[in-house]
Amino acid sequence: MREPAVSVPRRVLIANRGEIALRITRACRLLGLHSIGIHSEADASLAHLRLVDETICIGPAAASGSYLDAARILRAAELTNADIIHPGYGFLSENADFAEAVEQSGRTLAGPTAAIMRLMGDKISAKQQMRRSGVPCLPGTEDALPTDLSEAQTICDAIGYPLIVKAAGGGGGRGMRVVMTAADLRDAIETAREEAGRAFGNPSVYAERFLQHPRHIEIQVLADRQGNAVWLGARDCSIQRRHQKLVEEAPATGIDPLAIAELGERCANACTLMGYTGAGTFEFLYEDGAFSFIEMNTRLQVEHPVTEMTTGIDIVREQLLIAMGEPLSFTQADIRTQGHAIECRINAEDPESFRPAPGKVQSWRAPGGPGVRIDTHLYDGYVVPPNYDSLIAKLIVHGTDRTDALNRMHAALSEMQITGIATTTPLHLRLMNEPGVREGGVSVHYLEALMRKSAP
Amino acid sequence: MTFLEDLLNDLPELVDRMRRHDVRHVSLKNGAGALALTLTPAPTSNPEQTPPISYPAKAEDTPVPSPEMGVFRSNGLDETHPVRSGEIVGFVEAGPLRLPVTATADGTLGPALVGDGGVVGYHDVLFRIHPDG
Repeated sequence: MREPAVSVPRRVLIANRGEIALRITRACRLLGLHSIGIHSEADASLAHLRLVDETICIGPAAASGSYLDAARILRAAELTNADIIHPGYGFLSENADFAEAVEQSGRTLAGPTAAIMRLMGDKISAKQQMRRSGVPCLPGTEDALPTDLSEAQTICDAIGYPLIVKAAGGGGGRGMRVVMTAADLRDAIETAREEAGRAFGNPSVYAERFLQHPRHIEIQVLADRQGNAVWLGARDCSIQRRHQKLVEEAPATGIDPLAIAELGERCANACTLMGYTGAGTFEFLYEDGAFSFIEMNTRLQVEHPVTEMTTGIDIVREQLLIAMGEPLSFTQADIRTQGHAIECRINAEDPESFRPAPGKVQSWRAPGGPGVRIDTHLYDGYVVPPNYDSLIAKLIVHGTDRTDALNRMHAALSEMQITGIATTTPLHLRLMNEPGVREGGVSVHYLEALMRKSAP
Repeated sequence: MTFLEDLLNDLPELVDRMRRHDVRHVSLKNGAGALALTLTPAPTSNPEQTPPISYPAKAEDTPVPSPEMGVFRSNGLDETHPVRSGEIVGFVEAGPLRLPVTATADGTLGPALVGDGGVVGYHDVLFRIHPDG
C-alpha cells in the first residue's frame, strides 16, 4: 500500500468525547494533522485533551448544550479555523441537518454528504435504495403504511405474521412493535405511530417480516470521493441487550465466506451507486442462511476495531484521508482478513442490572500481551460523569482463530483492573466461558435469555 | 442648547466609549432629530496570534468567567483597576452577539488572562478579582 500524499496540513475538529475522541486524536497525530479537541464543562480532564494541538470548552455538561448543539460545534470550528469535522459516533454523527450546516459553512465532515445521510436515515428510502442496489431486504412494505388501518391490514396480511412495525425515522427499539397475529396489528400500528411521532418527529411506520432468532451481521465499507468503494469483512454483533451491543467479533463464525463475500460486493456496489463517501456499515439480520438488510450506519461504529485487527486497516486514518480528498490507498484485492478478533464493551454499569454507575475510578490497570488492544480514555482518578454514555473502555483481542481469541479475551479481562466503580467486566468474564458463546453463532436474543435464566 | 449642539458636545465622549467597547454603530433619535454614527472598525489582532497570558491564581481571588465561547474583547482596563460586582470589564463576541463580561465581586481586577482578540471557551476564566482590604 502506498503512503498518502499529505501535502497540506489540515485542521481537524474532533466533535466527540471519551475513547473515540482519543482514537481520532491518535489518527490525526499519525497523519500529522492539527487536532482540535472540544469539551463540555464536565469533560475538561478528558485524556485526549492532553494530546490535541488545541482545546476549547463549548458549553455546559448537558449534551444538549454541548456535544449535541450543532451551532456551538460550528462556532467552535469557526473560532479555531477547523476545516474538517470528525463527528465520531453517537451525538451528531448521523444528523443530516448538522452535516448540511457543515457543508454550508465550507467545511468537510468526515462522513457522507447530508443528502446521503437523509437517504439512509429514513428506513423506507434506505430499503428502496438497497433493493435498487441488489442488497437483500426482508419481505415488507415498499412505502410507509397507509394511515387507513383497513388498507394497512390488507398489506400486512400479505406480508404474513409474525411481522414487525417500525418507525421510518427511528432506531434503538423506539417506535417498534412485534405483531404475532393479525388481530394485534391495529393496536401495534397506532402505538408505534404515536411513539415514532414523539421520538423522531415523524410518525411514519412500515412493516416487514419478523425473524424470530436472527443473528446481527454487519459489513464494514469504505468509499472515497473518486467513486472507489471496498468492503472490509463482516462482524457478528449478536450479543446485545435491548439493541445495545455488548460483544462484537470478526469474522462472523459459521457463515460461508463466499456468501459474506457476495454480500460485501453488493454493499460496496451500493456505495458506488448512491455516491457514498467515508466509512459506513450495512447491518443485516441473518437467519436460515439468508441476510436481510436492517439499516445503514453512515458513520464510524463503536466496534470498528475488530475489523481493524483482522484486516490491518486503520479505518479512522482512512476516514480522515477520504475527508481530505485522497483516494483509497488500496483496492478490494489488497484486503485480506486474518485470524479472529473480539471486542468487549466495558461500560460503567452494574453488570446485573445494567444501571449506569458513574463515579471516580480509583485505579486503572490495563491488560496487555500479544494480540491485546485497549481503546479507553481511563486513567487513575478519572471521574466518569453521569451526563453521557456509560462506555469507558473497549477491550479488543486478536487471536489465530476464534478459540484462541476467546482465551485471550478471558485472560485480558482477568488481568484488567478498574476499581472505584462498577463495570460490565464480570459479565464479560462469565460470557467468555458460556457454552453458547464458546460454540458461536448465537442469536440476538441470547444475552437477554441468559440474564433471565440466571435472575434470582 | 439644540439637540445638535448637545450631540456635538457629547460626541468626543460618545466616540471614546464606542471605541473602548468596540461598538461600531449607534443610532440616536428624539423629537428634534436623529443621528446615525458609524465608526471605522479599529484593527483587531488575529485570534491565532494572541497567546493566552498566564498569571498565578491566588486562593482568595474570585474568577471572572467568560459568558460564552467566542472572541474576547478587552475593555482597555488597567491591571489594577478597582471594580464593583456587576461592572462590565470586557466583552465576548459570540457570533452576532456581543456579550458583556461582568465582575463577579468587588475588589481589584487583575490583568486579563486572555489577550484582546483571543479565542475563549465557555466559562473560561478571563480575569481574577482580588478582594480589597
